[in-house]
Amino acid sequence: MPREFSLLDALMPTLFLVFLASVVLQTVLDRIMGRWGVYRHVWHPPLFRVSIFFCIFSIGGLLALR
Amino acid sequence: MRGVLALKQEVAVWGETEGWRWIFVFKSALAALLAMWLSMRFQLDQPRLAMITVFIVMRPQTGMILTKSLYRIGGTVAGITASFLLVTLFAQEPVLFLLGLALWVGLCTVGAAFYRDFKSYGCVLAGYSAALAGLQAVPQPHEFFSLAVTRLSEVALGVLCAGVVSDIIFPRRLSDQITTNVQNRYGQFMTFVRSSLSGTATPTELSAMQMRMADNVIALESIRNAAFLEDPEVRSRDLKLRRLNSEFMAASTTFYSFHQLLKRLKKNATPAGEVLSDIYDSLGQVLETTGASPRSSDTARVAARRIAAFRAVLARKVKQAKADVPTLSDAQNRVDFDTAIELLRRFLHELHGYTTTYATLSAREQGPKPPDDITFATYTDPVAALLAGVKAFVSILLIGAFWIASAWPYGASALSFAAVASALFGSVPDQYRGVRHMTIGHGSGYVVAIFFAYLIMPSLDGFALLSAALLPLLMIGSYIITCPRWIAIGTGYVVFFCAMLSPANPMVFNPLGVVNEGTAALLGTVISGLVFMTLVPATGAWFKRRMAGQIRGLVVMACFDPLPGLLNRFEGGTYDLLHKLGSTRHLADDQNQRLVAWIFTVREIGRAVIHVREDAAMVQMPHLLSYRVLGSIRSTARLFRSLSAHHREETLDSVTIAMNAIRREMGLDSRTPHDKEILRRLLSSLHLIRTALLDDETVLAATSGLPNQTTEEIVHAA
Repeated sequence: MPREFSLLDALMPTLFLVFLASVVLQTVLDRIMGRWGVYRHVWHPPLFRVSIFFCIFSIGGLLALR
Repeated sequence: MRGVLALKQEVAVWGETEGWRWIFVFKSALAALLAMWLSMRFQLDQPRLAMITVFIVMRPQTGMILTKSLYRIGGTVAGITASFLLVTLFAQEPVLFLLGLALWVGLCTVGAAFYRDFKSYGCVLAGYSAALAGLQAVPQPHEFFSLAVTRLSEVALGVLCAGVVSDIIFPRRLSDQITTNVQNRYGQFMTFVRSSLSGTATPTELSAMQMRMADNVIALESIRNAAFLEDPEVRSRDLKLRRLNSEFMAASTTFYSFHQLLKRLKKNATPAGEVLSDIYDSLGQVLETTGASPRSSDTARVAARRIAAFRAVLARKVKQAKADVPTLSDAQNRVDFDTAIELLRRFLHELHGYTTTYATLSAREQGPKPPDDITFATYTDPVAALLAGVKAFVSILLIGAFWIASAWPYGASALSFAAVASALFGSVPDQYRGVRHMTIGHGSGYVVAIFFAYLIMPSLDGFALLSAALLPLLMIGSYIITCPRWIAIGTGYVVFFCAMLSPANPMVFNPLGVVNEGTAALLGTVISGLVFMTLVPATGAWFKRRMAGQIRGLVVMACFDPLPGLLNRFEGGTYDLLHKLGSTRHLADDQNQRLVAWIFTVREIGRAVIHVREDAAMVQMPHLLSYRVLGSIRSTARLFRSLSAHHREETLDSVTIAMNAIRREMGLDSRTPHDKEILRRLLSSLHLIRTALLDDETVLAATSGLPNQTTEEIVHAA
């Protein structure tokens, strides 16, 4: 994958797209886990949430830039 | 051993009162330094912007969240886009450019004043980032795109740092805040009811309690709004929380009406009053035993059961009282008595509902969905918001004109600070205090920044030393922010300090620039502050009159708005106005007291009108009767639109006529018992309106009492 893409002739990093996709994915996951009550079994829900986000973003970024 | 225990206790107490403050102080300093480090690392040219954003965004009261940050980033994107438009259109035309910028900042200030919480913040950021990006780009329009992207990155970085740090490190969980809020309010309400029943509290104390509860209602509403985005646990309890708020408001209004009615009956020494006192005392006893603020859901459940039991006792006592006291069969006394009992019954019903919801709050199930949509309607005066926008517009124009006329090299700093300040002034409830505090904060930030730039900065070498030197000075600002009264001072200080110091990589040492730019920025704030304070000041007579009109307008709304959800909108509106009055400076001042009195009168009458309309919609009435009832509603609306003794008398007449018509209808044999019950309720509500209108101690009587008084004078009096 190229490192940058052109948005209306302005070069944007591809990672930005990955970031947006991760946000969407994380929001969906967050809703589902909230409904299933996963967060009740977690010691520090916000930390857990941010960590999940970082995992998604890192995996996505590594895959995209491989 | 005992010493250790005492120490432990001391630490626990400190943790409750001071601990969270220090956590917040460290968190915001950490977030600011993190933002500074990251923007230096990413080679953004103005790390100060990220730091300023952190301090604008960090608030100790509500838990901060990443989702909420979306609004802020959205606001920034909107602001940058607007400045993009302005620069591409008017880069060569300073007058048009400034006009456009002033218009945009004005619009954003309207938004900041009109919305609340995070929407308001989004608007503040939209105005402020447009001014920042636009003004920097004007000398070099070719560079605009990269400049805009950098500004956007800096603001977004600040928002994200603030969000992540406050979310991860010792978060104040919103669900905990909600629990404390709800528990406190339950306790407060029970104390309120008990102390007004026993008559131990003075009217001022009672009114102060009501104020506190209004603040509490609004606080819960704002936390709930934030939590809805953040916390999945809270989201699943959302419906219950909304119901809790609305049930609480309903119960407290009913109790207020009941208390007023009883006061009137006692004052006139009617037999109904004496009989009621007895019932009243026994209610006090029931609440006495239940009221010791049930912290757990179990005790609340017990309380709910006891309240339900008292409802059965009440029915027995009423029957007995009617048999024992012969004077109650007289028409006038009977309607007094029936109305009071009806109110009491309703109050018990609502209190029972409130306690039950409170008891099951922590349970998982949502409970039945209510028939009405329970949305809490906040009530913001669009004209006041518009006026704040006009003020921002005028102050930007003034500074812009001065800039163009004098070719001032630091005009851009003055303008951007004026933009930030006016958007913030618009968003605070008490603009007068906001302006004063913001100026004090900016001034002190200026002094400290000069001191720092001349004495400390030259001997700093490297990032570690810089952050070590900045840390205590930033912490002072954050500590001030934790006191709700001094928020504007703390924010002003820390924002100005960061802006003037402008740590950058590589660091630029320019003490003279600090003085010049600081003076310009301070001037910008002061000028917009002066405009905000002098141009139709929000504490002025015109505003007071307008507010009184708005408060009375709620009754008109109760009279004519469509019924579904009306009760909630009405109650929400009164609570919101009460809260707004409570957050202004001179609550003790005579005019404000009068406004508060208006809110209470409006609450009583408006509520009764809504009940009349609801009951009237439930029963089949002959044409003439429904015409009479409608007539009484119409004349009430007319009275509250324009106060006069004439309208008051007219309203009294039409209410009395409607009551007589209902009495006749109730005498007919063709009516089923169910219909008669509803008609009786209708009669009680109308009677309540009538007694409220007749009471000569209310503010309504004080302003419309004398027949000769013209409306003009009354408007002034209110």
